[in-house]
Amino acid sequence: MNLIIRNGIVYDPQNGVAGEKMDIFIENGTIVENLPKDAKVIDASGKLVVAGGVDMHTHIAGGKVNTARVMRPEDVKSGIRRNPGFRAESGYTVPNSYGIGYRYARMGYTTAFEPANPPISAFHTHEELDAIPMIDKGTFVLSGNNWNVMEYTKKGDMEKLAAYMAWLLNRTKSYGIKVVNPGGIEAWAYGKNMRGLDDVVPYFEVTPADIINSLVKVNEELSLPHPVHLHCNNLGVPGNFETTLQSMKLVEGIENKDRPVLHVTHVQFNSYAGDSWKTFSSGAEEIARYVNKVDNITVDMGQPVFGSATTMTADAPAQFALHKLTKAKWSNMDVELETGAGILPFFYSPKNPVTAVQWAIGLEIGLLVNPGKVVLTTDHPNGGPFTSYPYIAAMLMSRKKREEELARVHKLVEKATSLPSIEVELTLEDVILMTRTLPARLLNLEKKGHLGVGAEGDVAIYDFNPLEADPSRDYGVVEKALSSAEVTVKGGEVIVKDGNLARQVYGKTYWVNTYTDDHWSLIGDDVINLFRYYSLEFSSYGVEEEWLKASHPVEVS
Amino acid sequence: MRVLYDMKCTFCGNVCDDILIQIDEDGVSTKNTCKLGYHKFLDHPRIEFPQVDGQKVSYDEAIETAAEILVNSKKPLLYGWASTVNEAIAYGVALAEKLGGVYDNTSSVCHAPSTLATQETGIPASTLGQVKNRADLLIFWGCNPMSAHPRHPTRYSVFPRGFFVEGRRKRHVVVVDVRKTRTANIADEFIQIPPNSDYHIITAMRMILAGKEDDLPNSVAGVPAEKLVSLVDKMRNARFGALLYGLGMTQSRGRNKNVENAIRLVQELNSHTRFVIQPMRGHFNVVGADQVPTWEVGFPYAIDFSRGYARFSPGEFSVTEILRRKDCDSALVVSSDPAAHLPARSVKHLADIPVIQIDPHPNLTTRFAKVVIPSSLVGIEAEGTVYRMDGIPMRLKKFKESEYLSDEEILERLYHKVVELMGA
Amino acid sequence: MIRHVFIARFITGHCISQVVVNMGLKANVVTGRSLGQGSYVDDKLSKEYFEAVSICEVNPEDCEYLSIEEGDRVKITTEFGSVVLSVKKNKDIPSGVVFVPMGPYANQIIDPETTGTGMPQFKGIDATIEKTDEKVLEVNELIENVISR
Ligand SMILES: [Zn+2]
Repeated sequence: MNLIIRNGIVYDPQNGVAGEKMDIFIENGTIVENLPKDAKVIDASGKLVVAGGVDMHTHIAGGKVNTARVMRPEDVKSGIRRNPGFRAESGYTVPNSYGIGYRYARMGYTTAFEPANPPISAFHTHEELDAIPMIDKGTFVLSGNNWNVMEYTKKGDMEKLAAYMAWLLNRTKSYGIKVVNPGGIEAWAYGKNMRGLDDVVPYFEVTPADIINSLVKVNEELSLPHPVHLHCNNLGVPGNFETTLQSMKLVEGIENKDRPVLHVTHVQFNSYAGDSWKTFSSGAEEIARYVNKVDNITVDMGQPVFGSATTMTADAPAQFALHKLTKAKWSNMDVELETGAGILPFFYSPKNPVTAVQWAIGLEIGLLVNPGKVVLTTDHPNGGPFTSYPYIAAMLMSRKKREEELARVHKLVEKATSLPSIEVELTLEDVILMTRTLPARLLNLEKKGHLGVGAEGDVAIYDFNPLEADPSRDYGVVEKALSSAEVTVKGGEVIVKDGNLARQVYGKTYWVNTYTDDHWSLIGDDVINLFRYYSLEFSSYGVEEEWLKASHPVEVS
Repeated sequence: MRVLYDMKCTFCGNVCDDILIQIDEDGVSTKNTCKLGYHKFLDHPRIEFPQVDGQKVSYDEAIETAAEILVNSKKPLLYGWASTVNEAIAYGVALAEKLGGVYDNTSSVCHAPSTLATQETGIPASTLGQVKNRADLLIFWGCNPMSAHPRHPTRYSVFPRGFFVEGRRKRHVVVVDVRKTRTANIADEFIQIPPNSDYHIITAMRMILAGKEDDLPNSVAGVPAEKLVSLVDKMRNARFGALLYGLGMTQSRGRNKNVENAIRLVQELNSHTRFVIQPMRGHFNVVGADQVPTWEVGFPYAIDFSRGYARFSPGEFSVTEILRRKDCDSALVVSSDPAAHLPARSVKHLADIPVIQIDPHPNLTTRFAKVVIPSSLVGIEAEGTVYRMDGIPMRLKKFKESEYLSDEEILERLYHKVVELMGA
Repeated sequence: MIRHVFIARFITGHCISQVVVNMGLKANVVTGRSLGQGSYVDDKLSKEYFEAVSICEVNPEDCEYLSIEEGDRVKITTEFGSVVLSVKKNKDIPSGVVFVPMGPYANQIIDPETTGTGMPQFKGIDATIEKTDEKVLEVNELIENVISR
């Protein structure tokens, strides 16, 4: 179907469009220059028109998400919704697969990436990604505690490490390299953790710094589309901003003209000062200062929102520490030779000094880091569900809204963070940049995150006039409008209309295909040898392309 | 002759993936299987053709009759699922939602109390390879892998050479059970407990771990306290321990509360050392039968859709209860045999309502099923995805052609027929 | 409702003492998988399956007490039903406990009420075991009995 979106007020930071009244033409799923034939017209007069949202870090598929659903029936029950003609949805922080797709679509998002794919159970991740309707998707492969990665790092054999990563991305049908608490999850197998970048991983005799260095090097060597996606050591620990800064400094001098070389994810959780929970305070200013200064690093917020959350991460030792602290129910999954996972419910209360300060630190990051370098996320569902993005956007754009919220939060926020004194108000353009342009650029998805000719026909129309409504003052109107797109178009199809589901579609799965037989000849023997310590045969490992519903391999030159 | 390597066994939750299959004029022979797996690959009686009321019909007629029965029911029960592939299960869940019926799988008479426990406590677990590479202490509690998961000890737990644990001699193996099982014969230590005493004994162990052993009586449910003190000491001092438990915990008095207590014990042990707990799941894809509905609708089993969305309540919607209360008016039974495996009083209602059965083999449920639809053998004649007991996905291959449709194909057709009859 | 007498009452030292009632022996039934049951589960109408699941394993001392030999028949009765099974002696079963392989025979004596858990209590069921001359029903007869009940 061809479409004309007429007279909308368009924001498209990538193409320098900010609040211009224009028509958008879509032909065969792609944005085109000229009026298409037989097009259906959507009248967007006086409404905001932007590209479909892109979420680059959201836990929506795989073993740990499903474990969270199983252990949290109270959460599953809290998000029930019947959708006549469509599947029912459930869950607040851990929606079912349909709920995930439908809610993203209703919010005007058309792409989402699951950032934690354990190689041995990669097909579970993909089965769940394939069950999510409405959006395009992809996943990053967990690599920072992988035995082969640590072995090659120890030997300094970057050629083999590159070959191995090319193979692993291919076998697991992943899009990028994810590093979580490098070395720390391996240490957790015997109850330890990594406390600094120079700690030594037991048996493997490498340090977190070594692992980050080698994977960044290999990421560049392979010219992967996405930077190394790093969840730093010491997550959730007071004083951890120093570890974060040290991790960032590891990539000093490494440049790539097309993209950053390191993405430090959900950085709020790694921007803590103080030396205990008693002296807990914000390290966000130091982090923001550093990120703003360099050209090769980006971050995403990992913004907590008040209310229920489900924490889930490969960082199993951090999760055990949280379990000891909160006594909440706790699941763990040690994954042989590769990684781990920890899952527990959490509650961000405005009245709790620690969670209030976490909330403020996230906003500091969002406000103090240059909008071209920070992506809006909650690390769904670690900071809260992705459906909170409009609330976060409103707070970033309106100091008045923040002051309203500050009035109800614990007073420690005033002492321990700079949030109350921050005057910055982001513009609507900044928010579009943080939710479309930047994440698409970081994923190197050239046809996503903008409305230029050749882009995919992913468009969201929101029912407010950005030329009339001032987000700083009319934050309520803006937040409400952003929460429920009037129309969402995915690949040229109208999937949401008048805020309701209109049509169920299934998107594609992006993965990077850079692997060749030459890679295998370098590493084949090593990989096969290590398989005697796996609990499954080599032939059972990995995901074939034809098993995916809509495979979309991306070739790298 | 054709030789196939690394084929997967579709009997128990081990899903052993190193089976060698040889096909020649004499038929199929296997290597590397256990006794259960050996029998799995032999020829068994098949349901020969689709039947309605005992009369031979075509697949289309059988599926049409099945769809009519389901559409005309107030509350159909869709049960089974643990011995088929995820792709078929997904159609089953969609059907249950569309029909406003009930989805339940065989875990409800197996490890479902473990799910109830997990809802209260979470569960600290690991993949099987972690146990193989690291566990220097293994406790088999109320499970008998030598009979139920025969290659578990050799592949994953007791005997294999692990990376950090060299083999059998470096592991201490304890069996806790009400009877001296075949597994007890390969253990270093057997602790016999009376039936229904798991909760008491685990509570005593948690007290010992918390330093309150002086408050214990000399014997707990007949087990001398010093025996438990010594066991807890071993657990605390292991480098990596694994508590592998079975239906002895989930099917005796206390059920989910036994498991909950055991999980808490293991959680507490993690303040001293590393310890994991793992249910020994039975059927080769009972994990998938829980996992697929969990991502599709949010819950693993005992799910009612009569309000148009998923509700979970095992006391109401599990197969045993729903049949006992005569709360369903038709049933679709896929790859299982409730007539053999449910309490007799629940079986009675099943025999009184129209039953549609999809299965390769005739079984006791076949005796009274109104519609019988033969399917091909998963992992032999049909492909698909299953999850091993620790959640690792495994893709089954087929190595024989079959005249029968697969579960997935049958359910896909049935789903579309139901949609056609009901309208979108 | 607590239907069961707390088992610890019967416990002294390591084993469960036999509580004699005039009918036979008061015992505790444990059901579960056996290799034979699992091997023939895809062939439920076979002789092998019948032989694997229509038995109960009893401690030799208890056999002596009941004056039964290997191959004799016993009737096991619980609050929920009764079933006739062939006896297999097994010294690894403690006195006072009998083991019955999971399946249609075991299920004749199981409580379908699940106390809200969905899970019947398949293990640790209070029962009475006595010698009988009644025959062990064939699988078909057994299921016909259930249906026509
Ligand atoms: Zn994350």
